[in-house]
Amino acid sequence: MRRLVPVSVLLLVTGWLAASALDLPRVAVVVAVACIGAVCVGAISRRAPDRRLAAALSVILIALLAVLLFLLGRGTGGATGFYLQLAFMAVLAPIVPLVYAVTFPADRDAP
Amino acid sequence: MILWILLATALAAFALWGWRHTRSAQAFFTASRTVGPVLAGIGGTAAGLSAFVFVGGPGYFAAVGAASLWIIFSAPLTGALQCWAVGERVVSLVRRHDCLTVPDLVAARFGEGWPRGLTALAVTVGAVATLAVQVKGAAIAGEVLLGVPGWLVGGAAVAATVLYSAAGGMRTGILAEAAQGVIMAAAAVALAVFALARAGGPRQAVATIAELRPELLDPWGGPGPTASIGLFLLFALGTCAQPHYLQKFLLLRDRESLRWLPAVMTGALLAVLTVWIGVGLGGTALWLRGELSFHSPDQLAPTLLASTGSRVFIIIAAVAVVAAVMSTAASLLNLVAAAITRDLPQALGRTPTPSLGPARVATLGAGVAAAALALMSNRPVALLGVLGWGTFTAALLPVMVLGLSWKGAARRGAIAALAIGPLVQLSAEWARTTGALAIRWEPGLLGAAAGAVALVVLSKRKTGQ
Repeated sequence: MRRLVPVSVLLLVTGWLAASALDLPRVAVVVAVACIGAVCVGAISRRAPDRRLAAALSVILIALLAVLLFLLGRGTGGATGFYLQLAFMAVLAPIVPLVYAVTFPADRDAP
Repeated sequence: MILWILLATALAAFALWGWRHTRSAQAFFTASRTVGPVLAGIGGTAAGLSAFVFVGGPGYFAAVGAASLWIIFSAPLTGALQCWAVGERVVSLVRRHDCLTVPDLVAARFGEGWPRGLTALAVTVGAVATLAVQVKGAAIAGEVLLGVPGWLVGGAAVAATVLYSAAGGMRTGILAEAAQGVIMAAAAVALAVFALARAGGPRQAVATIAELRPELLDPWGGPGPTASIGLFLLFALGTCAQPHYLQKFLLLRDRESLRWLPAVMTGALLAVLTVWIGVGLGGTALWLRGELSFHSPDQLAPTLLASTGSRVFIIIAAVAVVAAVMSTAASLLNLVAAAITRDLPQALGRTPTPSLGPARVATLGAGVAAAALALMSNRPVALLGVLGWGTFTAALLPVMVLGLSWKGAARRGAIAALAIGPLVQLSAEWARTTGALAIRWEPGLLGAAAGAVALVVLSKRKTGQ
């Protein structure tokens, strides 16, 4: 963990700078989703050996990545993209807080 | 007139109650840690959502369309993300070190002096800028909706907030914020339904935009895909670095309160954000049909409501905007008071006075400074809002997320991150304004990235030594 953190931070920052400098939206999407996952790593490790949070977060982040890449891929025009944005928000809204509540460690398990 | 007299009397009674029940720094800055998930969740959301949502949001939708939704696209994630990334660590630090303020948390992790001082400075500067957004939003709403001078409405909202915040700190602040949050959510839903109904329903509104300005339905329109993803990330991660959000973790009565906090926050957040989507979509459709006209996108929501001639909706909108302004202002005023009267003196090696007098005076001073800044600034509400959010993100994200969780983080890395982050962000903001930096470079993220690199590189060197 001690060595992994600096390497991950430098990789994410480099990826973000490259995406911004070269205007690479797909790279920006991958880095953005990875950043969101990275800030949750501490919470996952606090819950070890319970792996439910890691599994649930992986599913959510993969879905987020898929939606963002799909939106990038289909280009402009029409209202489909707009509706997809709204639908994804509506689907995630109850799921994410529920995942938090269900995977919240009881006080005796907390570090 | 009778209504105003009743409101002023109720406000004075509330402030008096706060004054009598707030006798210690712990009561003033953390409401004596008696707050549960419902109060903290609704209050925290109300504090986080400001006039920016009611005035700037629909206006930004009119300007860039669906691309504006990237600012709120992370809304379902942010409640849980805050708890995962910082909330659990903050509650743990509060238990062990009895922290009262955000700079207390940084000092508990990285020691006294520079870490506390730089955090307090970032909180003060960012909070005054964000307070200015509140005053400006109220001023615009007052001018267009109520037809009275903007400075009067903005000044009155801040003065009322200063009154109960100076008297009772967060003990009165969190109660007022929660009540204002409920008002905001109800008003937002009502206004969104009204705007969409007036535009002929959501489908008709979308059809109008698709016919007259199809580019507004493009999720990647406006600033372009890379910049849009930057906004999404800024607002997703930025929630972990906003001191008025972090402050709510300091108020929690126990660790178990965290469990349902994201559910309350997400529900409240999405209810209020309906105004962004509903008024943005409906108002934009009406504007494209020529049924509305305005000089600046910020005037979309007020103009839409004023055009109805319906006194009820105008009052609902005015109340919602003022509630949004006051809820955010109360937390920010308290944060500035804490930074000026506790953290900056402590950073300089002085013992803060146990008396609440200086904190109450500082609350008043912060209100006056923000009002002056708002009335002198010509930037639109949305841009001022993004600037304040970005400053907090650049300054605090590396130390709050990485610094609190990563055991290898060292003091000098944290100091460098706190100094470099906002410097890079403000420089990038200036460079973007002059055209020297492309729009796809998000200044807040750039600052946070620079701060994160400084934190790991300097901490690594220290570890290596």
